[in-house]
Amino acid sequence: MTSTLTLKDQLREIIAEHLRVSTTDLQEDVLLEATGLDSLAVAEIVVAAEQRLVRPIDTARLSTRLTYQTTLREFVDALAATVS
Amino acid sequence: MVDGLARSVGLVISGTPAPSVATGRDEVVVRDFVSLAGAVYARDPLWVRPFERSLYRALRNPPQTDGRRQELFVVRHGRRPVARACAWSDAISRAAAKGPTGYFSHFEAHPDADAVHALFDAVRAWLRAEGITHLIGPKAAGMMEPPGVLVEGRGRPVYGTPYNPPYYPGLLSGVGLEKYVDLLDFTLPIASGYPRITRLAGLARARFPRARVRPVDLKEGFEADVHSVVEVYNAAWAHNWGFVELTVDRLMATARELRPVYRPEYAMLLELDGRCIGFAMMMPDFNEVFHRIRGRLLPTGWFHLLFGMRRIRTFRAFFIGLLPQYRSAGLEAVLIEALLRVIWARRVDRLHVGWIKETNYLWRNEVSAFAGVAPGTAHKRYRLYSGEV
Repeated sequence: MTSTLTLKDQLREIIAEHLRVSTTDLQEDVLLEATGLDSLAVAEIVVAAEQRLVRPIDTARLSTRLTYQTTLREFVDALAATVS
Repeated sequence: MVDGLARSVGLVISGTPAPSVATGRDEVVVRDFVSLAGAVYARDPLWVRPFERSLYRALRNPPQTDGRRQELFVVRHGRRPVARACAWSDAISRAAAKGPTGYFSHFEAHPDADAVHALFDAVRAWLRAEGITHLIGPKAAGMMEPPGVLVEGRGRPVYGTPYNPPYYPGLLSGVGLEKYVDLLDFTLPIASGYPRITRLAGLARARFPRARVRPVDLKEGFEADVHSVVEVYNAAWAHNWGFVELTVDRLMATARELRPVYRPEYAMLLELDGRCIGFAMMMPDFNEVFHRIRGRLLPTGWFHLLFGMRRIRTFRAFFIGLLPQYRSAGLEAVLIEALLRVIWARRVDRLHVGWIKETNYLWRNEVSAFAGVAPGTAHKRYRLYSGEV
């Protein structure tokens, strides 16, 4: 089942699990700030993604792409772009 | 209009002399500068009186590091000091990207708008003559001087945080200064365990098995550690609010000041293969003791100082930072866990976490969750102001 999902779909699943909502309820246009995510949560999502995908994430590049205006969609894009 | 004209030409209205501004470092200016705070807070039981002798020393002989230029300003009505500020800039602030920037600090005033107008007219004129175009403050050159003005929240100030009468924001707005940035402050009750931090720290250690945390070396390795902290600080905070590059000289000056009361375990360095990649620093809330001493070591202040320090159960977290390439990997949890071990060992029951820029939502959300406050709120809010010179 999972193998048919795109990389971004899998990342959305991980984020949704972290936020305890279903992927269909993820509102990707909201600012990351409004989701209640914090700096520990970002690290937890990175670790979960690395374990699920069995691929490392370049956290150096990821952290430079997060600003206070980052939306959830941009966070997913940033994660996807930094998966090695 | 009439008031403004009177101010500009120094007229006397209704028998009240126009305020006069004194500058320089002579005995009378420094004495009035120092004594004004005592008068402003004379009836305020929450104010923590500083040690006036060390303030005298610092004002008379300001460090000359980093090309610093500094001037003191005291406004008097007649012979009575009513407002004060220090204006300064250094080589780094003068080269700021948005234009040569100067700062004001040590601002104190009675609720006297005329006096504060006269004060900032003088501060701006001095900065203009120095080639400065932007003004930010309150922000002192020393690292441990608290930046900002308290605009929300009350209570006895924690060590290293601003405290002022509630009319200060109105006085500063009245001289054309606007909000530059708000910094948030939270008080966290200490729990017996933090499973989320422990779990994430464990995952980060598994990912970086050669990462090591150790207390700062206050002996032979002190100078090397200071260099490491400066390197991490400048990389970690380069894009942060009002960032001013830290230099080894500046940190050394602060470290020398703190050395008598500092303990190695208050600062933790995170190393990877022997290279420092992060650090975290906290301190006891010395104001628990300083508040009782009221700025005097005699007759009983020394006793409180000697024995009270050990009994402080409230700490303040000052910095936690990682080199940018190691963020978002859980390593901050490794540092936090190391500090928590010290906190538990010292039976600390509260931790103040402050200087959090309001737009830094990742860190703000994390701390507000641990503090148990609603997102977007804080226990205290401090404001830095800015304006044209």
